[in-house]
Amino acid sequence: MARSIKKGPFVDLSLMKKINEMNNSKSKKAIKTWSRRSMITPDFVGHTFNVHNGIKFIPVYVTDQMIGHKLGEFAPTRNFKGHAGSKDKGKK
Amino acid sequence: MENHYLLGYVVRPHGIKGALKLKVDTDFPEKYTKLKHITLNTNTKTETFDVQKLSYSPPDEMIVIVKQITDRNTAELWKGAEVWISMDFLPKLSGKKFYFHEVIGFQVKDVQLGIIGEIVQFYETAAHPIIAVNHNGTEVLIPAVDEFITEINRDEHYMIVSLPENWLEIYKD
Repeated sequence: MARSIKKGPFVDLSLMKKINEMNNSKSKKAIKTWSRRSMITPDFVGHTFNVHNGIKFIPVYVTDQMIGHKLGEFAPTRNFKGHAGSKDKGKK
Repeated sequence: MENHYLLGYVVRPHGIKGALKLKVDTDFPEKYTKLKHITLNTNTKTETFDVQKLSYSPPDEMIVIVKQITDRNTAELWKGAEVWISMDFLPKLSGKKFYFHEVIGFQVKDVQLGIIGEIVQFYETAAHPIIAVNHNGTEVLIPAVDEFITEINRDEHYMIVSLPENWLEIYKD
């Protein structure tokens, strides 16, 4: 079920605070975050987030096309290396 | 395969005259319509073919007719094969555009921090490609976007990037 529009987008408070500080001072620093659930708002555009994927921090440079998505969508947690059967690809 | 570049793979035969349908992994498939040779590689065999006709089927497929394959049964044998092309054929890129394989081993310098390290590999994510740099044994990741890449010097094998001031602190823990 989709999130109620009345509530507005969810962004972790600590993350929003950092963004607001940087936007006010017009500085751009790398932000390390574990908050994969935070939604990208227009304030995020142009900033770079290092989003944790469970192992390491994946840098995500935010563009306007990402607005409405969650940060976690851009830091994959799984590394697909193909199915076991596909080793025989092309064999006859 | 040395001096070759992986363009894509054979999806399936096309038609009964031995044509092959290819899926290509490139940003500019239309630039490859004048290919003269392709090399097909499976687990068991590798062979170079002369291209007779190649047509581009947007967004990322091509249909190729090669001189050596004239029937569907032979074409079936190459289903799933990797398609390699000679690096000489690749169109030269300039400025901030580059091929991933072209810059592997390049030194990365930051405008403020100086030398960061050497490019080891690239990762593809949903957002943008990421450059993995070996910084004193630690893997430092840099987004491969225009906002970060300032200059690429192909003659002296280095890339100049503009990182936020606290970028390396992330990798200290």
